[in-house]
Amino acid sequence: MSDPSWLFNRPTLTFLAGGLGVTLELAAIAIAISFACGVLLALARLSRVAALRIVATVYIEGMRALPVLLVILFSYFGLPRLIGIRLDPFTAGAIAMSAFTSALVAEIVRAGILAVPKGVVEAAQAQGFSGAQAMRLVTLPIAIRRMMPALIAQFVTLLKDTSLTAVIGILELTRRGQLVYAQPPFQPIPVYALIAAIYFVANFGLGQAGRALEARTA
Amino acid sequence: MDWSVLADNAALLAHGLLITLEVSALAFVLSCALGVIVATLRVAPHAALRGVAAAYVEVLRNIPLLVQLFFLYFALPSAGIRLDAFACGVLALGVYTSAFVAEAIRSGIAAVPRGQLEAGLSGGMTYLAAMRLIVLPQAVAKTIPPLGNTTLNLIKNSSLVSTISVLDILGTAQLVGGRTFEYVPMFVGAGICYLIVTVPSALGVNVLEKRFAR
Repeated sequence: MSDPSWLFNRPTLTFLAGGLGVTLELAAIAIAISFACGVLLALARLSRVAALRIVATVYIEGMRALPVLLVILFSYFGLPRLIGIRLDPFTAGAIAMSAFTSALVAEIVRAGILAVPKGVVEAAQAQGFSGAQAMRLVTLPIAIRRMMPALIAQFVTLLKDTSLTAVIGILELTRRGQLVYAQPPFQPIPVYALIAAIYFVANFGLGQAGRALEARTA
Repeated sequence: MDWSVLADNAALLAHGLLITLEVSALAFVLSCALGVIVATLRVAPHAALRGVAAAYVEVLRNIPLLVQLFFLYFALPSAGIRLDAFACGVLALGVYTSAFVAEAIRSGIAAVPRGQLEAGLSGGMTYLAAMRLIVLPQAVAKTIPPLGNTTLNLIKNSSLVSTISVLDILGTAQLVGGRTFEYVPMFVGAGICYLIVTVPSALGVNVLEKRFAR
């Protein structure tokens, strides 16, 4: 215990750094997919077509009312039964994190779109923009800039939630930590302290970046 | 897929639902008690107290709940501190959520004009008395909407206790799913149980938001 070299040696730290890499990779994939799907879901929820609106509303409200751990476990244990394809843990985790975060991003995007003054859209349409063009070229760019702080807060939550994929065996940071203290000298406390510090730095940094952005755009 | 497994285990799931509610309720009480204390410290007149409270909030908010839960359950026993899984669940969930409660209350306190506190102080009240009798009651009204969301998240986050063998809704669904390999019906059943709790809560939060929005 007094000699910390069992934890602070190159192979162990490389192993944990690799876990952070997997955590960030999973988060990055989920951010990209959930941003694209979230925008589409928000547009569907604001659509004039009733069927689109209902499907999007049920999806968004349903997802938001469920625990993300349930979505992860369903994706890994349940989804392969439904679609008949075996999913490796990383794919199942990425699907779950993306599907869940999409619903939350959709609500942020929807609020952002609704906050854009009507006059801006009308001005674009008066200039001859079609409804879709006004949405894509005028409303969305304004809305997305305004909702960056909320989006970044959501992505901090996502980064923390990726730790839950440890339970389906993805070798991300938390799971690798467990593997490290399962070896001699079996000391979980320093391992958890180190992992917690790594998560803290990543999340606090992302949060501070969000706040800086907020100050600049406000 | 055999959906009868869901009917056969409905009583078990219902028991899981009770455990989820029990964990959530106890953690809620703990998080409110700690949250009020930390929020009060965050606006205290001493910089050191404010610093400690700010560090408490930032550390707890930026470390995944699962890591905190595993720390209590898997790591503390190596230091001779043994808590059962249920206690670990309530403690981790309550402490984690207290950081969010503290933030909600702090923003509520910040929204109460400073003159209110000063009027209390110049009226001869101690800082604590002015806080307790004048500022906090007004802050509570402004705190209700964000607290509602925090509570909803708490109920959903309580599902993490299933990872340390507590048989809440999700733990029960996983147990039966693993025994029968009928994961889809059990997870759908679990989802319905969560919706039974979270949808009415969300509607309640919406009503409160509208009532307290000004």
